[in-house]
Amino acid sequence: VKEGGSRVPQLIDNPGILRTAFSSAGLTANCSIAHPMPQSGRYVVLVGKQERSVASVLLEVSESDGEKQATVDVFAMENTGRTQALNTPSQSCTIRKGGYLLLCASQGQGSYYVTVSDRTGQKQLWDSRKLADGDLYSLLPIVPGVYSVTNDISRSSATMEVPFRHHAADRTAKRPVYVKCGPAGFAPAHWITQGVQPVVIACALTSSISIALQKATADRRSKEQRLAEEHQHLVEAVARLKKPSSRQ
Amino acid sequence: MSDVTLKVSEKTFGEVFNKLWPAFKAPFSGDGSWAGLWGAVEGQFHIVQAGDVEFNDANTFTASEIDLQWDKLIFKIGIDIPTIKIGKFCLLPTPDFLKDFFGSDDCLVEFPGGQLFTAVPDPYVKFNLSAIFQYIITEITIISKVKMQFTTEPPPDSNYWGIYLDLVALHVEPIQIQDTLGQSTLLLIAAIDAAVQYIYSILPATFVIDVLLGIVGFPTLSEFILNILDIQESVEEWLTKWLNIPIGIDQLIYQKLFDAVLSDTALYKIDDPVTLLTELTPSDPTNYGGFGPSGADGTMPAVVTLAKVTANVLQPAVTFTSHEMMVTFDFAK
Repeated sequence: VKEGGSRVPQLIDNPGILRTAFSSAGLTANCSIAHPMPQSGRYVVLVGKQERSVASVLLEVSESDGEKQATVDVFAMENTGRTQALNTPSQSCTIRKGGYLLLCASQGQGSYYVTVSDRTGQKQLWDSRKLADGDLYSLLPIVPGVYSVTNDISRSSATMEVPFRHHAADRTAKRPVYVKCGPAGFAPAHWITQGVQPVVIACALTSSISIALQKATADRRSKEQRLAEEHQHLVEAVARLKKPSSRQ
Repeated sequence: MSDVTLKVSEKTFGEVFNKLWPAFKAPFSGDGSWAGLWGAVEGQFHIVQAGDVEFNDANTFTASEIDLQWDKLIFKIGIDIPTIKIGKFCLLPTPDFLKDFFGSDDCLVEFPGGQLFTAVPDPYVKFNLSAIFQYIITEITIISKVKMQFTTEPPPDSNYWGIYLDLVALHVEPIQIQDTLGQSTLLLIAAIDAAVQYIYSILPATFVIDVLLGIVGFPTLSEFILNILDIQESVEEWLTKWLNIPIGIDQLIYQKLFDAVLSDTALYKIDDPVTLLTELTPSDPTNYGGFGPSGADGTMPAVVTLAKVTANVLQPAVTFTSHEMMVTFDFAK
């Protein structure tokens, strides 16, 4: 972006970073759904968007061969699917029995769902809009605040807090926060993320998870204060630079 | 021996050189990359004068200590904020009872990771060097012959032989910044402050900066930018290196001066034909010996036209001695 240019400046092009609402019924960027495949066989995976199938994936679950997981990027599948008939698979993959089908959207603002059917495509076995026992729903919340977390089917609820980060010390936890969504509700019922930390919700019953920001945490410093702090840090940092070498 | 010999002293030649040659302003721009960063300059300068003009034995003259004055010099360096990736993380560890089946890997299901910041526009840190113009030392030397060239002009202007520079050598030293008062450091602070303000102004929310800083591991955006600039030495040495090496400002100045020499105006002009006597019309004959009125009735005033006297220039030449420039030519008979 050139100074004074006509383009609207935009520091980030990942809309997921500013997302304040998440739903397992609509898979978006910075979220994923993992579904176990316990039975061997051939399956048809259909990627849907706005009640319309946009791409298909052929998934083979083997008794002994294949990977532990098949990753399907629904955004990429939609793009590939635009150029070919729906009955032509955009991707084929093989996993071992007991492995997982991992669904994610690498980018874009779309909201997707996925169904798994038998090899004929006639018998639907699973729909991502209704998570089953053993499914994992993960998300990466960034916007600081307090969120409500609800299983819309069992009506159980929990709260999640994403703190405002003021210092570089508490960043980027490697391990996600693990939460169980079972018949007794969410466990834990309240959790706090640390840094940029993913949250993984393991479903132990039929679930549809909705997460929404209830109260944003405001920066307790004004922009002027922040700029003043920036300036002070800069002056101190520049003072640490080398002095000009002596001249003759 | 030539019909005409004109001699111009070294001092007079230097005064003419200093009067005519600095008349142009030279805007220029250039860019370059260094250590993964992109930098660019926009500038304009003009020549004030040559400190010393000397005639040489080799039929050339040397103009040294040419004083260059900056009208504008802005240096920009792009802040290439890197694409930041959220790494892979384990969604589901492998249960112990499945490790034999799936292998010893501890993770059964892994999130493949993704990009958190992508296609970041690259704001830049802009240094307006006007505050340190007086500390930027530029040494320029020209060694030149002069040449005569005939130019045809539409009437009423006369055709002429012009004496132009005929460049033998042009030398521009890499610039030096001798900032004795530490103004460069203040420039750096002002430039980064402005860049920080700009980035804050385009962000949807300030927490995004904290997320970014958390990932890159810096307490403030200004320190992050300072780190990107990678100033290993003093600010003035860093600026000097940037301007001289990747930008090649001496070459940019050289090119502008070279172009100016090629398109320069004549230092001296000799009309061709040379007017020896201008036309006088009408002239009162009484001024030339006393003729009375003429004509049949004696009423017509006596007038006479003195024709213009000109001579074409032949074999013009210009040479230097150690103290004089000599222009010689003959008249056509």
